[in-house]
Amino acid sequence: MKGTFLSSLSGAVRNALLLMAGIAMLTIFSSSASAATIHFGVRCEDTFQNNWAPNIDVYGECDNFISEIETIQPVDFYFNLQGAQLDFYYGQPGETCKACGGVDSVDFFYMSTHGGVSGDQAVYAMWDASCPGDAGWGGCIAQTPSMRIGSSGKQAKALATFSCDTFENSDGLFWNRWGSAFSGGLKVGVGGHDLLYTSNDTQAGTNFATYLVENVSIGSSWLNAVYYANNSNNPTVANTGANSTDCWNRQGVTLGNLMSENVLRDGAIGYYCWTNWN
Amino acid sequence: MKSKNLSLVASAMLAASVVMAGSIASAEDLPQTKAHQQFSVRQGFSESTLTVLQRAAALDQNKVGAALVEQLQKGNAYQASKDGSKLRLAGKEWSLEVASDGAAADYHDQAVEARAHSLAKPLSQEMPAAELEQKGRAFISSKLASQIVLGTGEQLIAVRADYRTEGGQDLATGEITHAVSGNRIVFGRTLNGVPVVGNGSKVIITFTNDGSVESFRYDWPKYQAGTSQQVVDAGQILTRVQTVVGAHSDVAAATSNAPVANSEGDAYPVALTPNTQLQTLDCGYYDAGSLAGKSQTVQPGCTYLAVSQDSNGMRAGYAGAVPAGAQFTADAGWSETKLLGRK
Repeated sequence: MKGTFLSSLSGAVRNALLLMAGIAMLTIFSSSASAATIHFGVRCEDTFQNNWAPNIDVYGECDNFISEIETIQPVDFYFNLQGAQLDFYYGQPGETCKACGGVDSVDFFYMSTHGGVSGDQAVYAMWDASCPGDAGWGGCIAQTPSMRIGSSGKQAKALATFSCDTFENSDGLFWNRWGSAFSGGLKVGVGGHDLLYTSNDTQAGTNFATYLVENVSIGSSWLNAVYYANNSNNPTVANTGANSTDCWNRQGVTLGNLMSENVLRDGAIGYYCWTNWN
Repeated sequence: MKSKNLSLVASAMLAASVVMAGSIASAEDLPQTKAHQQFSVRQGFSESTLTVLQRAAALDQNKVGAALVEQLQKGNAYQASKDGSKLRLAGKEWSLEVASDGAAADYHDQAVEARAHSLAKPLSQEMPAAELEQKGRAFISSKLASQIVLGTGEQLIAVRADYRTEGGQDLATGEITHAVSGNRIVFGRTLNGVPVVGNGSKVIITFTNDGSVESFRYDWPKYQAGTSQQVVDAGQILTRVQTVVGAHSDVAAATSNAPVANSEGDAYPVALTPNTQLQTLDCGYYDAGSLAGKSQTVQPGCTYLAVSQDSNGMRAGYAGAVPAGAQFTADAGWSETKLLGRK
């Protein structure tokens, strides 16, 4: 009769009980979402050298994500994307270098910048106006075929990117773009299959982290947080499995079991699956 | 890397067939919403003057939470806690958060969500928008009647229907599957025919394919009328949108003002800058919602969606709202009012 009991008490007593329950629950949630320490790394960019790409408002979103998530887990770095291309590429020294902000130097990598797709590549905009291997884009990009996330260093398990289009999956080319990155053992990736709108409203970062802290699955946390921030957003979660059943089961991964879920690499991956809103 | 190479070939071979796989679940604004967006970009507002609103004094979030739990028949086995200013109630497989002002809530049933994949259907069998609206209205009437209260001159309107789609590919056979696993209806509110735009005055309900409610989220304050504002015309609204999108993207606005479309055909897209187009404009009372954590007045305003695309195809989406009052009030929680710098 707890619900009825609470509602029948005077406000002061009820609030005191709620606060006590709150402390207890915070402990429970903290432990459920953080059975193991998960190291986060964050890289965001809202301006681009020589305006090679237009500005976007993303720092508020990134700040809020960090403020919420670091209540339960360490955020090892928060960097921009200047000179960052090689920090995403397999076999490069920066990939596993925490001081460099390497993608494989943490367990959970969060990024916000421009994104795009072309043929068999998904790309993320770096700050620099140019760099080797820009693949014909207007400035420096990091492209997914050069990534193999999860096989080196800290072996990143989750990748979250607030970027347009990079998780496009309606054309049947998703695995062409992401096969290399996921084959390193990356367990779950979230992003946008079409446009994700930036604004001064930073609810997406806050709500994503809040849901994660509550141990909602990483995929659902992303899908709902980004959709609720703006109903016209197009969020996606994607992951791998040994087979179809395994893939859909693994899409439910939470912070609580992210570290313990078994790693699938290369030939052990038999299936990939995704879920979109919109 | 043999298996990867084989799977790449297989997926490439099947790419064309995927594109032809059939109808894609069509998430979008409903026809009445699209009609309003066409009106907004052509005329802005029907009225020359609108009232500035205030979200009424806060409700007791504990009472709201307890009432919702009772209405949802979730029993008594739940825990309460505070997450910042929000109240969080959590049972074994559900959670409910209530905003500090008691006017907004966010509910998720993890047990229902866990069944969604097993209930997935072909894309062509998505729940029609009309059925979604009917189910949504029934749920509001039966479970949220105490929270979704309509005042004099107010109406609950269906705004958009969205779908959760899923897919996967067997890397050995190359077979790709697609399905729809969730159906979402978004309701809004009109006050004397003028819609509330932004995340305030919204009710969003998600149904699995068996009709179960997986989640809902609402922001539904009671409004109090304040002073009046004279609103500007569509041309001035578009100029304001041009200004703020140009400022956000740091791309110079076009030398000429965005043209107001004539009454023929689709008014969108509207060129704002050389590489940026306005996708939609929704004019009404702008309420960002209490879950955004920003207390503010509810002034006449227009939400916008714009997209920029460079010559290589890289896109960026911009969203926000511009004030529509000829003399609007600067609001610390509404950056465009500060950027446009008028009072």
